Amino acid sequence: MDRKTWKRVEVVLDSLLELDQNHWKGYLKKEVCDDEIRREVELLIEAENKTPDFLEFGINGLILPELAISEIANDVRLGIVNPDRYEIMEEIGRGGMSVVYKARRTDDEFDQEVAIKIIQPFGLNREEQISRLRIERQILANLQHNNIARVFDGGVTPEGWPYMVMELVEGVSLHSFCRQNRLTLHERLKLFQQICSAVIYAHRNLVVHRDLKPSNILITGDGIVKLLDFGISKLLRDDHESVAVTQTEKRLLTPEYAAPEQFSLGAITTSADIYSLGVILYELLTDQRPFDLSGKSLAEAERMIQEADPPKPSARQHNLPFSAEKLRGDLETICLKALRKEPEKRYGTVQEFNDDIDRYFSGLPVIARPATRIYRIQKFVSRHKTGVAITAAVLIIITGLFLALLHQQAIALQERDRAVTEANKAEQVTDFLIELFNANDPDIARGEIPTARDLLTNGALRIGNAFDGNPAMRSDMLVILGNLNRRIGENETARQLLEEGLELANTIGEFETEIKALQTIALTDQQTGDNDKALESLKKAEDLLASKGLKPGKLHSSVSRNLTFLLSEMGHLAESVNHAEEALILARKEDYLEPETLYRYLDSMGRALVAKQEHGNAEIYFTEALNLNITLEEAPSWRMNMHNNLAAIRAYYGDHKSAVEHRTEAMELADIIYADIPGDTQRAIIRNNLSINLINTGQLGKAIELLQEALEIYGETYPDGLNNRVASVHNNLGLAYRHSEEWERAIHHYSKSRDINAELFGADDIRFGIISANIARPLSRLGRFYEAETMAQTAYDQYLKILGPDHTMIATVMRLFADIRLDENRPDEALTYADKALNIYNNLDHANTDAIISALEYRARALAELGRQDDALEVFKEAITLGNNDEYQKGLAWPQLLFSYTEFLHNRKNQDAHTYAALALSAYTDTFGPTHSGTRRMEAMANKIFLMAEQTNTEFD
Amino acid sequence: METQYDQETLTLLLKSAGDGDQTASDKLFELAYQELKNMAHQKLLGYGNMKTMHTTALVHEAYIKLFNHGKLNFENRNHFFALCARMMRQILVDHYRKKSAEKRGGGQHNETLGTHHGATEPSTGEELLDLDSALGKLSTLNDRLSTVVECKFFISMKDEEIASYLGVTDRTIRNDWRKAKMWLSKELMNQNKNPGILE
Repeated sequence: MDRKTWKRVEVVLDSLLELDQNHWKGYLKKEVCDDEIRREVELLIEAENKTPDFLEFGINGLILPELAISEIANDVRLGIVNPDRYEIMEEIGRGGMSVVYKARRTDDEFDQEVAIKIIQPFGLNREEQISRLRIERQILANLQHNNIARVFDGGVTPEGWPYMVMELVEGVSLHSFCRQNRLTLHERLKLFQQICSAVIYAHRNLVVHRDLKPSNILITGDGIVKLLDFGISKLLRDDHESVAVTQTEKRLLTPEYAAPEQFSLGAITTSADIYSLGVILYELLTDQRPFDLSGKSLAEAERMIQEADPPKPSARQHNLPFSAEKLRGDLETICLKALRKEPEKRYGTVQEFNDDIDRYFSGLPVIARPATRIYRIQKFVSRHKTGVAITAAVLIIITGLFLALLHQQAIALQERDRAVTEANKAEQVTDFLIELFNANDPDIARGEIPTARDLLTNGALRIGNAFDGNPAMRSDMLVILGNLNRRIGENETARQLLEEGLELANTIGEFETEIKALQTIALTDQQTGDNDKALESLKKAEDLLASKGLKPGKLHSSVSRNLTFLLSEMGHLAESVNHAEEALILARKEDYLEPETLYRYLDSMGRALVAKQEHGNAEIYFTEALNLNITLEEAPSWRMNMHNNLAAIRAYYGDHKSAVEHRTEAMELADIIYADIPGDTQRAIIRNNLSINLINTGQLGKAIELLQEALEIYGETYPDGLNNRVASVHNNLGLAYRHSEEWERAIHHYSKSRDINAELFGADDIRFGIISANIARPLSRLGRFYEAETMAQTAYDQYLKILGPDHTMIATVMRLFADIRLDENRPDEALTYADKALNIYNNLDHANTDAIISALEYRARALAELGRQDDALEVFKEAITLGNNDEYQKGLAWPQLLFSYTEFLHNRKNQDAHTYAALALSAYTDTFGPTHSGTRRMEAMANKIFLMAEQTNTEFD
Repeated sequence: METQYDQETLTLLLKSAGDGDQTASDKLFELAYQELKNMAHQKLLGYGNMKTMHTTALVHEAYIKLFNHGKLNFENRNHFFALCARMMRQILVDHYRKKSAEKRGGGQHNETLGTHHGATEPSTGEELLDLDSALGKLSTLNDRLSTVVECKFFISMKDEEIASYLGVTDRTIRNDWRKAKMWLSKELMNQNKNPGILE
């Protein structure tokens, strides 16, 4: 542009500057005819939005750090700086923002050498920065990991320099160590894993390093990795007010190891550390950095890092003690995954990264290789967090990250007060948050819950006036934060945040947030037992939706589901079903609904019906939900839920075969969905449930196998084993062993279960009764009648107290007593008990056929023992008829009945014994398999009967 | 202190400069430049024992040092400051240009052995060099805009001070600053061909 053109441009600009910015566009359109001038002015206006921060802040922002460092050094030289209690010895390092000295504690009886880092805070609000440094220092002081240089102490020198006292690490940098020692590939990877373990630990404690590089990684004489400078860059960047911070941010990063997003000042998360680790691994593997930035300007470096693909490690020549060819394949893939430009395409956590190297070591397929099915499912899991349990700890860790973001966002908003981009930003933050929830899903950490909880409570306070300029975002954040607080049981804090969010959303007309707030308030009320209030909130939300014509719809399906569950929980079973049905009918009339919306309505309907004990009807809706296209094609976790629901219903009807099928499907899905989540309980829960179905179909070996797996999984989650789920698994193991007739083992597991239950719930809990009943039978089989009797009596007393005399469980105990009495050879009493059981079954609407058959069998046997053979025969026949009914899904009582009947017939030398022996044998083989002790016993009896029959035949010949 | 100057001469020179004598102004510039440069290298860019860390403070100090007799009136002072701003630009640009050349020539940074607690490399003043060349172009379009930027950016002069020096209203300075920022932002963006860095 020449001077003359610029003059004309300036004239226009001068006129514009006299006007309100809103009128600029109009003015340009009307008053400026020359296209060239107008275009030029437009470009300038656009450019103003991108004014570099450093221009605003001035030269002082550029010079300060260097200047300050020499000043600190000088102060120290002159002996001015002398942090309390420490004697400065020598300078050992220097950087843009700090000087590090070797020092000695002067007030200590034992002579401890430390490193003291003296930091130059800069920017405008020094006081605030110093106080923030103090908080950060406390966080860092909590990091106690073998591979992280410890922070012991800190303060402010009399001259006003903040300082930190750290572990003095004597060692060499990662680079030097590798060069000096000519490390093998294996040794390099092991070293790298040490680095990973430090970073994993830090991330679990909410500390992101942000400046990982070999010079920050020292190796001690013992070969231990020590990470330095944890959180330092974070300390220095969190500055509220000053433009210099963003400027400094750029100055602080080390371009060679910085992730692409660190240049654009996007929110920096754990993912940036993963990238830096990727560069470090790359360097360990190839002796070169992914990009050669020497002699490049920051701008050129940035462009390269943001745009260029790093060369494949296997393509780079080096003279390390292994060939580049060895890197081809998995190692290379692992390394390049960490170096992806897009944070979401890198490893989700450092743990995953580290695990992949483990997989490489053990020759397993690495996850870096996109195995399509699993990959897709994982993607799904991260898209739909419903159904994927997020443990409380994880949630809290994520919250911490969320707070960091909130904080950064607050800065960003203050600095860039540009209305146009705000809406856009709000969306980004929400996206980012959701992304955090998803991407960091379950295994990021099971870390320090108490401190994290503190963080969350602090966060509730810290939201203060954040986002004041953007009420839409503020209301959104309030609701999210409220919900997080609810989930960790901070109900009061949750309520406050939610109420504020609700009010704000209502004032500014953020409809969706308002609904979410109401829903979450309802959940909070439910949590504190205030169901009526919860109901009120949900109904209000539903009315609001209806008034906007959003019933039915996606939002409504969620509100409606909560309402349905709440009604069931309050015991309004019919109302709950009616509500769900009404919603479903409306939904079906709709021309278009998002597929997941219909799924939700169907799911609600089914569950309402289950609560109302209408299992058959529920099954219809669950089946429909299962067969929706979206469920079948895209949503493995929904498929898993539906298979679980259907399995429970089939089991309820005694159809354990179908239950096994559904549960097996559910288990296979769970194994894929939760593949990378060690210790997740979902896989164990399904195994436990499936084992019950398996036991009921006699597949005892398989059941025991799954139960052992469940114990293994729980072992990771509940190391002390004091958990009712663990107790349940032991109980079912006891049951499986009992049916395998391995009495001692059954008693062992039952006892374990009983102990855990007693410890957790006390002896008054119904579970204690159930398990006592269970333990009685194997005791009786071993002839330990007194103990068996005591156990059964405990169960009976408790059932009677809790359930009353007519409950089906009382009948179960009666059968147990009958069984014990038969073992004890006291048939008269056995008969009484069997009759009592049958009496209860007769008075029930729906009694389990297997249970009735079992009671009849005891009765028949007791009669036979008492010598009332004809009566016994009648009862046996009655039981057999009942069992031959087509509707009866044959359970475990059936082979048992056939055995007893065969034995009875055989004793009476009845010819039919022959037929029933064959039937019984095939029932045993079908149910328990050929090697089961029951089958063997039956076989022995059958052989005797067949042999006798042959002998008889011979006699007649 | 190496630079020698004659107190009498300076005062005289400054007076002439104030009167619009071009040669006197050049001579003053040269002298003051030497002084500022020494101070800058001692206090800003090298090692010194001063606590001050702002260029503004440095210029104030130079001003007091050079004219400790207080014979100058307010206008002269602002005139001097504006000159200092230009000098400061020159000194810093030279400094960073040299550093940057050393860096390019020096090859890859060598790791030191032994104990060291990591430290972050300071920037090379890349932005400053970019700004310098942009300012050069701006001064050919409208010299006043570039002067305003120098005064504000390099020694943080206040709008009133710049206005008094240039003999215009505060409002003009504010508008100049805005126009200059627009132009510079656009120019820097073109220089980098990557708007990302500016955000």
